Amino acid sequence: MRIYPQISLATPGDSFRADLVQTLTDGLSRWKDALNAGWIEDDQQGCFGTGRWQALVDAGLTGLVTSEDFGGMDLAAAELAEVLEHLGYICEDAGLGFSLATHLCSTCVPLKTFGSDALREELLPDLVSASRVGAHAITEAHSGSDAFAMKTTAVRDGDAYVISGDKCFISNAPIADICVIYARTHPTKGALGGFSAFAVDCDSPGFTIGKPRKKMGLRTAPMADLYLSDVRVPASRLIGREGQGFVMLDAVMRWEILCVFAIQVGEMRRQFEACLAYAKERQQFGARIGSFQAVSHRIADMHMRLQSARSWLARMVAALEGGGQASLEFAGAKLAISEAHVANAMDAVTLHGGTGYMSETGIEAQMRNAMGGLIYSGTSDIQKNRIAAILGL
Amino acid sequence: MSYPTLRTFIADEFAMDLTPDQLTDDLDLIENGIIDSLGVLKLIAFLEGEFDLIITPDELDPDNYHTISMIEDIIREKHKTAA
Repeated sequence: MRIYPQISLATPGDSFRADLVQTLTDGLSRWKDALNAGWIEDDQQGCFGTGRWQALVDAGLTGLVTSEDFGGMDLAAAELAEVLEHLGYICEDAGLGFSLATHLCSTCVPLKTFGSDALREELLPDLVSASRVGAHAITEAHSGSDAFAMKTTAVRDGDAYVISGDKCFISNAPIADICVIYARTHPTKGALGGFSAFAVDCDSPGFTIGKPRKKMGLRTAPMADLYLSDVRVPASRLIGREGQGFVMLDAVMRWEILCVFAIQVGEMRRQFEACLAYAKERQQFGARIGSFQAVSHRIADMHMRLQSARSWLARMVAALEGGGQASLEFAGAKLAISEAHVANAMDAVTLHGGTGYMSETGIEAQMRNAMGGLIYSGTSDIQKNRIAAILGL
Repeated sequence: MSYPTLRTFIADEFAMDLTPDQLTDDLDLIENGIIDSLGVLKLIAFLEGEFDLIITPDELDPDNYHTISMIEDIIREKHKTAA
């Protein structure tokens, strides 16, 4: 059930490929059952859904951002957002969408944007086919929000770099084959110029993946810590130039926020429509619960937050396609959508009462999953810092 | 042409521990770790707002932002291109 027509995210004058987007979203809808098979049980057990992942691969989603030269589709921001929003709408396994966004943004985006021709040719076809899965590693135990306080180092040694350090909370780590490692390559330089990124094989000698970590939400998206002890990486695996780590991460974060939160807007829409239908159908005290003002106002609040979230998504798309820094739009969008999603998810649980509290319905999982959005890709507090900084405060 | 507001901005935002004598046009802001990640955002927002220019993500190359002189070169080049 769709309550209202979706306004296209395409911006005037861009070359939005409506037919391609329609083909992809129609195709995704055909995979709906496979994308949702067994997700509640896997969420309860904290298992990655191999079959659901394969459905994503078969639907072509692992090639969304990579160019046609390497088997991908090279979607523009508006096209990508529409397809991923549809994924969030039809796929209830938020962890699966999160793993996909991680795969696309951690490796495909930096390789496509900054990688040498040789590196792109070596890695992108396998990342498109998902015969190799991608991840990236930024966070360390002592440097979360202050990401560039990281201590992992990469020291040049002949035709290679030697990387040492520990990384934590790495999404996709338990299933990853290629991990983009961010490391300090200069002893004194700050964020600009002091860090670099490397595409590292996860089976390299000295590269250890820790035990899968248990977490509050997104339990079907596997996560682990990484331990790198004198991992020797060919200099050819440096992405871009030495010292470009900050610039690269800044670009990657934009695409990550776009992808992750486009999916979340789709999830919010599915959740809202289910809540509206429930409010119209559920009877208590001899009347539809939607006829009670307390419930109808909750639905109205959810509607407003959803529309606000999608407007922020559209602003983000326009900013990305506009080519400027657009940091204000990205910080605002990340903050607004993540907080709206949490608020709506809590309302959804409340609206459904005891049913919403039961794991078997998946409604409480949406709330746990949404909470992560306040933290990853820069916490809400950090986004407010960024907004304030850009405003000159 | 120099841009005194740029020097004032960098002095106030990033170099409060430095004396005016130390904040020379050729002091390496990158090499000395003076601008942190949030500082980059502030600097770009300042440049775009104060000097009415747009810096694209592709242009955020650390090599271009080492010194006040180099940042002034960016402003001049942008204005020349826009003229």
